[in-house]
Amino acid sequence: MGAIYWWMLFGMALATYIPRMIPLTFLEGKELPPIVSGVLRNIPYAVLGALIFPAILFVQEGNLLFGIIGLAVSFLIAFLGGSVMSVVLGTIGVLAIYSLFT
Amino acid sequence: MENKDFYAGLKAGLSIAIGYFPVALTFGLLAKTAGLSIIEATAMSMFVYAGASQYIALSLIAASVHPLLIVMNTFIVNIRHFLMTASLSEKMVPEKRWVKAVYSFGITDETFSVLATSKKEKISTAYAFGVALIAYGSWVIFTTVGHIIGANLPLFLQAAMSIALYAMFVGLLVPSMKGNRKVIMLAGLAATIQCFFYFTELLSTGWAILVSTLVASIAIEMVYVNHEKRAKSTYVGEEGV
Repeated sequence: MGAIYWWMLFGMALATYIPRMIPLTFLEGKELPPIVSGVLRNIPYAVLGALIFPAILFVQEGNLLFGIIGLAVSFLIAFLGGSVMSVVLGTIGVLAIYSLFT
Repeated sequence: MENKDFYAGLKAGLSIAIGYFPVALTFGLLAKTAGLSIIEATAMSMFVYAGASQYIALSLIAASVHPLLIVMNTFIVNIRHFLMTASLSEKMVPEKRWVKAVYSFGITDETFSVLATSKKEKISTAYAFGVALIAYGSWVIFTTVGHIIGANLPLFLQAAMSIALYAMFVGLLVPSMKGNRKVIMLAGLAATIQCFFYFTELLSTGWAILVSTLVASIAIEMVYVNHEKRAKSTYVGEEGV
């Protein structure tokens, strides 16, 4: 990957560390406006939605069915109460079988 | 006293370390399939230490997204930690700034929830170090182990594993969606906006995710704030009658 990777890593490290460090070290319990904290609270769910869809459908180029099966199986396992790891392993398992027979 | 607190912290952090094991292992595996060397993968876990951001970075690296956008995405995903560390600072024992700056590196969603839900009135620095250290160790070590395992996988399994990243996101999101209409709306709206960018190719992937996330988060918050206001004014109105 080369030098650009290490610059990116340095930037990512800062982008992760600063939001963790600043409030704990300097803000000593000051409160954010409710609308700001509300928006910040929303971000994890919104980012997951944007990450999953539609990209999951096109994981394997030219094979839409692969993505559809992946989405359906992962959603089903998660909906039935499976842990994150069982969702990951279960979906990989089903798609491995699918990949073996196509 | 200090030592006792440190060991109590290690013990409390053990459940996080166990929880990180499969996630870090999968990250190491995926980093391998995304083309990162074992040193590059381990270094990301050592220096960045943020599960979601690292997984996102992998998918963006695989999509050849510009590194600067990956850094910006990392920031957008992690600004939620502003909230957590702000609320946590009230619960921590007063301490020198540089010491707080050191252990704040170890605050993740998981260590935060362990510390924030602790029954202790005030949390000592030694306890926080214990929790942070065992969780961090697990994350870094099992990233490396995962990368080593990934080298020996058959091809059909590597093909199937290309879904792992997205399956993990589904696994993180779906439990929060259950019985929570706001989460469903957030994920649904962001996904819809993302679809628009994807098919129109108006923005590159990194920017599209950033814009979709912010627009959805702000829009849904506006809807809910207005909704609450209206509910409140109705209530006040009825009171008046």
